[in-house]
Amino acid sequence: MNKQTDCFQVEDLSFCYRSAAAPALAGVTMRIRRGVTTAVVGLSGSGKTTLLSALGLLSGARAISGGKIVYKTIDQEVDYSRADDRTLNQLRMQQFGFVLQNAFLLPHFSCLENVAFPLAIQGVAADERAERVLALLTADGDPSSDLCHLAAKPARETSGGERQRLALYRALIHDPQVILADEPLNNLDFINSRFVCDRLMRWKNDPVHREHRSLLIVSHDLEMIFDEIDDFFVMSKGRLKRAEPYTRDELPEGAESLRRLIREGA
Amino acid sequence: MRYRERTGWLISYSWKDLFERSVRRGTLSVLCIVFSVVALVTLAFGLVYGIRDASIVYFNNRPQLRSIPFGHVYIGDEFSTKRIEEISENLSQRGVSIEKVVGHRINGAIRFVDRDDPGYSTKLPPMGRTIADDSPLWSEIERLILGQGIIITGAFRKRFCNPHGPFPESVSCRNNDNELVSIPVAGRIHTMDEQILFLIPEGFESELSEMLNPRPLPSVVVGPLPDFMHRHDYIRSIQDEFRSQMISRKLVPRIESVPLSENSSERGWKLESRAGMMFARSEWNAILNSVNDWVTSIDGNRYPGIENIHPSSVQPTDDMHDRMFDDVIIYVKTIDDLKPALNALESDPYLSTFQIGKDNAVKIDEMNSQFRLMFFVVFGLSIIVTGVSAYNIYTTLVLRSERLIQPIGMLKTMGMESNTFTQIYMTEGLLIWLLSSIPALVLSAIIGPWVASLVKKIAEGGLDATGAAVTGFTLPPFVVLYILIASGCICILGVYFATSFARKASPQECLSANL
Repeated sequence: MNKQTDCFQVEDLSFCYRSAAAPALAGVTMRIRRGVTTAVVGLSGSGKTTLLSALGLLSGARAISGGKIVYKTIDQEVDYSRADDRTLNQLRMQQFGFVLQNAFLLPHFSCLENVAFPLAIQGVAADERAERVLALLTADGDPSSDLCHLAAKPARETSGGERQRLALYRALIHDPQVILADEPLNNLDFINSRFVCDRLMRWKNDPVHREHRSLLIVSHDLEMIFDEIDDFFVMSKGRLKRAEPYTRDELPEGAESLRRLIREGA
Repeated sequence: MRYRERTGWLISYSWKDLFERSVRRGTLSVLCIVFSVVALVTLAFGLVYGIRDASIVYFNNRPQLRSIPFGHVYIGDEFSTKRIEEISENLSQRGVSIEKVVGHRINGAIRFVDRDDPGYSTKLPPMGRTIADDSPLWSEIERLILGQGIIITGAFRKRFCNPHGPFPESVSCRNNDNELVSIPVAGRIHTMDEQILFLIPEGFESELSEMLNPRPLPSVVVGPLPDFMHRHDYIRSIQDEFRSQMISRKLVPRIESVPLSENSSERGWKLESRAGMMFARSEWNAILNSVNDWVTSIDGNRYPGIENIHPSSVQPTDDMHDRMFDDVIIYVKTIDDLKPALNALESDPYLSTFQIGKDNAVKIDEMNSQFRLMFFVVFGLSIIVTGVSAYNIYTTLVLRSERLIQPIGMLKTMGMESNTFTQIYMTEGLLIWLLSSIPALVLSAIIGPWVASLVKKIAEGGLDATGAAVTGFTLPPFVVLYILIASGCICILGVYFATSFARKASPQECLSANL
């Protein structure tokens, strides 16, 4: 595995929540390749979301109990434990996009404004923000073009599926290098689940950027995502079942093989 | 605009947006905060404006609420410029730092003052409540106007009866032979300040002379009509009524000295027609001239009956051209000057109306300590209200920020910095403060004077003709500034602490916060 192709390099990572008896992550060492789709699977409470939060700097670099996380691009290498707050914040602002279980839209702001928040935070002018949001929503062949009529509506007036789709567009709008998706299909019907999954893969497999874009996904919906994933990490009780990722070739029975691995870890 | 671009409209900065997003769309929390601060500032300002001049004073042998400013000695009413200067000089010589002396200028009335009678000064004008057309008092008044009656005023009644007791059927006192002399009272007129003018029936002049003997009848000082009389329309109507009656009878105001009785060589004043009448300014000059002539005659030819009048109390030439002042107040510079001022006034031989007595001085101290207790109680309540308001602001903001905690966490995942949140929330705190303080100032400007007028009404209810030394304790105006600063601090610090978690927590903590 070429070192230059790594997106995240994790070494002996530990994480313990305050007032928690057992660590949420213990001795996690892994490499996540750049330009591939990686899934982290496991039972509830196994530490998947904590790992994703640590990688995406959601829990704060200072909260990591031990170990090291290095984020790499072609021309940049950032060690979370050594970087200053500004650098880490820039990383979160420009390199990462998040799709979480809940959309967490600002209820009094319009759908357009919610989708445009990442651009607003980066200081993009209002006109350009609106232009880019509308362009994203009305992309050719995109079945989400019906969201355009929601643009001026307050986010609180949208349905759950619409919110999740808006959250997805919010994660895509600033063209990040990495998307970290934590249960993005949760609480969605099969149509919306399929849409979110397809849209993420479409972003990931963009012919121009596919080698630089990485998708890290945490999900229980193994059937839905299995065919789209390149690398699988199986977690159990805060540890990885194996430091090296599983590939699809190693999982001949598909999602069922994954389930077996998860059960064995439990 | 740049700021708004950077912060991405977490909160709004324009009036329209604030209204649209926070108020009309149901964010009652903003209203709660604004209401709390309005209540807080209004209460504080209302108190300051309302009771800043309120003082509990020991006045006329009983505690009264009066509207007297902070740091003063109230020395009573009806003083000439010269006397005020004497008093001021007296105080200065005793080391009391006087800041200023104020009083209402009296603009046109005859005042009758017996300086030898301790504790009294007289207001003769039969001002008072409107007398009904069919009232029997009119006949008494007419007799008075025609010189057929004798009037005993408030100062005299203190000598003859309990000033605060029920209306007496007769007035009485012991004469020089220690015999009790009584005169029935035919009628009365209530004056605006609750003085009662007794109308004495005809035929009791000799008894009255005995009662008054050996004291002389009042000397006369001349001064203009008190300002406060002009403030009351009903007094004006009485005034007009009297004037019209006088004009209809073609009466000419006249004051002359007469023997106190047929067989007496002592002389007193016969008060004809204008016993305390108030006159229009056009009539005043004629009266003034007649009084001038009369006083000059006193000065040149002493009457046998007026030896007891202290020469300084007549001072015809000086006082005639002197201004008279009512409700004279001496401001001392510090609260520490009050007590020596009171002592100085007490020992002033010519300020008999201010004699307090040691017992009363003790009472004044008691009243002051009581008032200080009241002061602390009032401000204790204010502090409680302030605390409740501050807590309300705090909890409302906590709820408000917690309600948005997950979207805030989402914004943090997008790279919004904690400093930006701090700036946004501080701006919100400033907006709340401004939005609250402005209406609160307006409200307190309305409420404050209203409270003050209530205080004044209560105070005026306790007015008496007799002055007494008093002391006051009230709020200095600079408290207003403190209140503004305090309310600002409550808003800003309330916002700061209430949003502490939202600002400082990591995105993960915000996203997983339990609401």
